[in-house]
Amino acid sequence: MNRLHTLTGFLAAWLLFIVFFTGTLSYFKEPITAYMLQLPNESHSQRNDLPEYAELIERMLANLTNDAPNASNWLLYMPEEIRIFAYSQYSQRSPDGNYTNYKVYFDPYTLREIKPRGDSAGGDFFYRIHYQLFAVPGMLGMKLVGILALLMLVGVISGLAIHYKKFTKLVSLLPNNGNNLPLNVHVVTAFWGLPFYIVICVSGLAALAFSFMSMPVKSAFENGVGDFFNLTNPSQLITDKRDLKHAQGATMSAILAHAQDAFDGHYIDRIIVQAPMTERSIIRFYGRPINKATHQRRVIGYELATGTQVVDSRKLAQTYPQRVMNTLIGLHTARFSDFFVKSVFALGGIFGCVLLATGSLIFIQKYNASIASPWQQRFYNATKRISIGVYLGLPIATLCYFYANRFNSASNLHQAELEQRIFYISFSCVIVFSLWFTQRFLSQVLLLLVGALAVCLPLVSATLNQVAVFQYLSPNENKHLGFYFVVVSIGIVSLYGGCRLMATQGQQ
Amino acid sequence: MLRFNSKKFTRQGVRIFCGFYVGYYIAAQSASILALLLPFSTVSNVVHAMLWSLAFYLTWIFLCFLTRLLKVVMVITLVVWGATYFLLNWMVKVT
Repeated sequence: MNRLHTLTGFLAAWLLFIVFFTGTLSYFKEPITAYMLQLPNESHSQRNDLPEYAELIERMLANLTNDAPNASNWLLYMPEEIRIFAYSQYSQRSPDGNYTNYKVYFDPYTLREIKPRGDSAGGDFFYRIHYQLFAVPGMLGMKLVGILALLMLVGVISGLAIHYKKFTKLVSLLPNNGNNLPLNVHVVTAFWGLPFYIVICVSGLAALAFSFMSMPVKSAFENGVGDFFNLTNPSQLITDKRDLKHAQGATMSAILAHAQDAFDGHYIDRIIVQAPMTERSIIRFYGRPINKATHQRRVIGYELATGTQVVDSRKLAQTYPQRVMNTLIGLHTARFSDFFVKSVFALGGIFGCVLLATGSLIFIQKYNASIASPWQQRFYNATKRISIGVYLGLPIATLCYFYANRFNSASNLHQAELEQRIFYISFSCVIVFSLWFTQRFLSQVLLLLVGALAVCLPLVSATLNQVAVFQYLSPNENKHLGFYFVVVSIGIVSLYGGCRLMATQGQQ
Repeated sequence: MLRFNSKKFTRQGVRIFCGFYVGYYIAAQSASILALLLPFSTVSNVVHAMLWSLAFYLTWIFLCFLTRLLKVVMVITLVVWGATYFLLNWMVKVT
């Protein structure tokens, strides 16, 4: 068990840290997107109730009819508690044959179109790294993340078997493992975050099973994973409209009234119009059950040309495995939860990051005691330096991503691309930098850099955008206040760590 | 203390190969057989089979690392791998 725990930890710790870190940020991807696009939200501070959607949906559909009559699909995302804006999305084929995505944001209360400042991937960038690992092409990234989730689960179970005696001492939060700080922190974070790690690993595995364990999908479907994905995610289906005739839709108000009555006890969070403006247009409403931990949505569809109902998912019986799968994915994404529960999930994610970092430190300590040859010494140095580079490089790259957004000009057409490049470049630079310098110097410099970047972010943001900070820190906008609070807290802890390292070096 | 020991290293390698690598194919092949056998809709069959395969794979990894007799692990792994491989090929032809 000890060897299995060490093996899985050594193989997966660095990449799992990236997945955990970006996954934690992904719980707040909508607020991060709003922050980076600097979406104005004056009306939100005046009202806290969710608006009636009929007018908003009609307004968004009218806008899409003008802007994107030739798009293969229209997607409409309604506001939720954590997403303070509504937006419509469509993709259009450009002359070179590629599809380009467009998003139009709306204020759900005033029904006005919101013009974001420039362009940014926002929180979706972290989400993509979380499930696709640096946007590795095709299914490879998802397969890799699936393998990492499996290794994490094996590590958690074997860790439980190794450390279970120490767990009993930890109920009172008083670890008694001598002066080994990394081991104490590792066991404390493992104990308090254990249910979270098991849920996240099992649900992550279930969510990515179609890519990671694709053999059953390939044997059951003629076109393999593609067919399975289209059946389970009809919103991603691209419709070929070339042979369809143009047609006007039936009155939307009647369809909306019927859908709102049918969705009793559900919250309409997504609407998809397939093949819009044609004779075969179908509008699908996706309703999320209120206060239920499930990924499963009720779907009701209408033919837009005639207004007749053609889809009702309630009539399709779901088997227990499907329900289990939906519940697992629902638990993983935490879409059912309010802001407070999401914060608890995020705390579990932070615990996970600390667990992985301290696990690597313990491995390094153990390995240091058994070095017998120059090659082992080289391997040890490289492992230690890369660990420091990854665990401190990722926060630095994330902060650089935020800084790039604030320093970027709104007139820059490739702003989103530039921000992402700065993230990758800064992360790579820290890794390369970490291979050249001594470990103590490296830790000091990187900790102080994280601290300085984090503490200065609100100030730089206020200086560059003048109103941005105060606009987002209005009395009813505690979420952005929370964002700055977390960033500055991390900064202060990092500064303290860096100063402490310098002080201990002076004593030595 | 981590000290390099070639015998232990080889034994560990065999366990990794049987548990992680061959275990994956055994889980995937048995899940494919289930996906073809089950009487539900195709999507439901696949979801059922995938959940089964994940649970089975995890159990298999731990069995390979916990079983003391390495030869037993190797023989059982090869027999089960071969059996699921031939059964799946036969079922694909029949269905």
